[in-house]
Amino acid sequence: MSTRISTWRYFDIWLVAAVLLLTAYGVLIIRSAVTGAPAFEGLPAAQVRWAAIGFMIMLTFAAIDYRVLTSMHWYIYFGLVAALIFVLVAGAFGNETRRWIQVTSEIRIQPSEFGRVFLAVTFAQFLANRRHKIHQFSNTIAAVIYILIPVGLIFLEPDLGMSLTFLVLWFVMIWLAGLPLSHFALLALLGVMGLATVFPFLQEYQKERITTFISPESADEESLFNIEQAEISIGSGGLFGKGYLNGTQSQLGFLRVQHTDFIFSVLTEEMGLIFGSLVVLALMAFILWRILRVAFITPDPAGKMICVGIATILFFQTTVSVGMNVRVLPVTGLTLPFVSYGGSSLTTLFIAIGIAQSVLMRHRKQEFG
Amino acid sequence: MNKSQQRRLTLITVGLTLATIIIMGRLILFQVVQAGVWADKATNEVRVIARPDRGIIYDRNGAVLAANAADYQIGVSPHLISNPEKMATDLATILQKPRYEILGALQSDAPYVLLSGRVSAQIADTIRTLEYADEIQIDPLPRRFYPQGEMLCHVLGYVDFEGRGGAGVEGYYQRELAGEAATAVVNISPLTEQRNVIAHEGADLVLTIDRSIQYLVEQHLANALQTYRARSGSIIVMDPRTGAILAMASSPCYDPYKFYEQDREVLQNPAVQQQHEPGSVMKLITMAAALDSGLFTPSSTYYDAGVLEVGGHRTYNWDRSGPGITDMTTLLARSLNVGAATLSTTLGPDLYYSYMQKFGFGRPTGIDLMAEAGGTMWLPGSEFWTESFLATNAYGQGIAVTPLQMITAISAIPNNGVIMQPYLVQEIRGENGTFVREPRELSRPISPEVAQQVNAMAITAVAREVTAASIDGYTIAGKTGTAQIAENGIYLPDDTIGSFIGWLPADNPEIIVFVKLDRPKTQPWGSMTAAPAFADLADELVVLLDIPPDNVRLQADVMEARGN
Repeated sequence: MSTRISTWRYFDIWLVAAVLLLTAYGVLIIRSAVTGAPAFEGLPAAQVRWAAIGFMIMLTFAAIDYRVLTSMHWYIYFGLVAALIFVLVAGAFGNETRRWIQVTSEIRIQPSEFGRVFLAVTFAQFLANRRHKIHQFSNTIAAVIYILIPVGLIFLEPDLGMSLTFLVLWFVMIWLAGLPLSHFALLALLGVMGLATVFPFLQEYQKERITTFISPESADEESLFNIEQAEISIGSGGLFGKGYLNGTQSQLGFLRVQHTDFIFSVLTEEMGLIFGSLVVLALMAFILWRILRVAFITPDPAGKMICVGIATILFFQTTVSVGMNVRVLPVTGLTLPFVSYGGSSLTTLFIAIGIAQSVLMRHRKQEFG
Repeated sequence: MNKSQQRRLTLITVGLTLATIIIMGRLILFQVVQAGVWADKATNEVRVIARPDRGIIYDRNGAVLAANAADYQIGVSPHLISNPEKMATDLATILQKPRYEILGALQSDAPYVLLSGRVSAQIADTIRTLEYADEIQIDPLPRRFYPQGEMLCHVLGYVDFEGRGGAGVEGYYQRELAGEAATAVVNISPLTEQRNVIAHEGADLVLTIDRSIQYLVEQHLANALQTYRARSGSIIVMDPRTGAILAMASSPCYDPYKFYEQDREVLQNPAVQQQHEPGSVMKLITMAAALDSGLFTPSSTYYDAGVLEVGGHRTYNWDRSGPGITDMTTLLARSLNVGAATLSTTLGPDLYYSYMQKFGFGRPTGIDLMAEAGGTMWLPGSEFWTESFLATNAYGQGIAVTPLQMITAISAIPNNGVIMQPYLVQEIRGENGTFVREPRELSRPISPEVAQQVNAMAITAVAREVTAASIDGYTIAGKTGTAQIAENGIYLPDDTIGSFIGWLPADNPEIIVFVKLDRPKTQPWGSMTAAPAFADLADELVVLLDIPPDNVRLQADVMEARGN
């Protein structure tokens, strides 16, 4: 019992508070986003249920020693690959893509969402095991194959945003592991060549989103409309916003996919720069800081890498989700962490926080007292 | 942590900070520096998409099956309201919302406040009767309306709140029905009308469905489910000469007006999206293939030992009998599995599966309905195929079909060996004129002679063994099927699918009907559930379709011949 007390002593209550605050704020915004759409009326309540489940899962993962996870990293990795293959073969359809496993008629699981968290764990251990071979090019090749299998499978679903998340995650982690700069240069060359071969095989809608971003004039009316509406929403929100449930853009239905892709626009239109954008981004920055802090203080190379990986996922998704709303980045359909609607998204983020807590709670090699 | 790692971690942190600064800068640009510009855009002028009215869907006689209605969105501009206190009191009752909430909205200084996102036309009408109604903005939101209620639900499909067809004809003809929207910059101030900027009007559709026949079929399906205590079922009525679908019903149905209350599965159309093992109905196809190959003739016989082993799998007859030397007609009439397997194995895999493909198994028929399934037929060379499939497929096991695939394949027999493309929309009435669909041939799997030979056998089969399917005054041809239900690769011990496919008048067929009842509890056999359900339905169908009894029709032919 005494050891349990001592590990929970390091449990980061501030991190949890920030996460819960952000989630609660998200529920409020989802409620506003779905007002007037009877088909979606149940979403805010569903999000609260997911958050409750997520919270329990987070405590569970914090209680489990993360080294239990890292010690079985190969099983997790191959389990993930198997799930991704299963999705392609027998997954459920939605919007012409196969991303989900249908569990019941109500519940669908998106393995790639879970995968991005667990890949941070398994790849951390993979790198930690091979940290003495980091200068060997054969090791780099192995690491490339390690990531390309899941990324390839996700790309086939097709899910561009998630594939990119995995690649960025991999890049940041291997960077931290100390991959020689010459290897990076070579990989970049290969990457450019790979991209040139892959682009013709992108799905129509994916190409369209990228070309819309690069040259807005080439976009069709509907996608142009979405981006423009998002801009007007954010811009007209001003410093203090138009007030909760009072956004003209969102409430009059000019914005599409409000509760997921464009939730940030609803948020800023109604709450403004100060209470909307700043509060959400500040909370997210705080969360990132608390996670990176663990990376700095833990001596375990694998634990360090895990935390950086989790921070990368959160940061990348936030940047892309906000960035596409303010037309800095193309629309890729990534969710705004903790704020956007989505059961898989929310629960997996809680898992990630749980794992970071687990690393923090066990950062002392030995506990005395 | 070594030095280099520390440096790299710091670099990551710097990168994060930089990216954050860029995004924040962009936000400040939008929300502070340019705030005035954007706010003007939002309150005065905005780019909108104007959507044309969705096309109407009619049955073949002009009855409206799907039309447009509207829900309404209620909003106000607070600074234009003369008496907020009174308005709040009235609206609180009408909109069923707390008075203080509405009053708060009415007294806010927002340019526009949405009071209710979606209310019925009835509530909107009540609001219009208020004396200060002109201070309230009532905007229509299009909503698809189905005057016939649940009738024809799976064929019609539904339209979501974004105006997209989500299933059935609504989904398949989304582009035609929706027309083309256009965008323009219009004033969105609550007091001005929005300008009309439609690019192309939505086209109307005329279906091959006959509302009266559909109604009859749905009634009979409901009765059959109750009588035989079946869980679900489907009935399709088709004209084999053209491929036109006259009725297509599946139970359970749903109300397409309230599509959002339904489970995902209920929204699927079992007649084209659900696969089942067809069972003995498939023997008609096996027989047709065997005769067309020339390896068998109607007078051929085979020796039925009651068991046939193919690829390690033993095929028995359903009643475990071994009748010895048997002719082709008896094979069909008594539905002998060993006989069917003998035919297919004599043909061999190459010939047999080439016939099966010509009959259309393993791929969608191409009917104009959203998300049609293609069935599952494994072919030699596939890793899932084993030799025993050659035997079991001959009597409809180890292969999965949709009800539409089955009726389409069989329709070659009443239609002289020609399969017509099944279709549901016969006319598209667009702004540039009317497109009338001509019946189109899909394939010719067998010769006209063979079709007539199998037709004759199917007449005898019904007359000898399935008297439950016969009706007074008409000759019926057809075949029963009793299929087992495989779940997770294992056949369920108690549950079956009973089916009957029949056509009439047998000598000159005008309609073909497929009846399928899932998991009937009174009797497991198709001959005792689906066959009598077919007879009940056919008895009334001939009246509605004005098909004269055989003797009347043949006598009229004779009179006509004499007169000439």
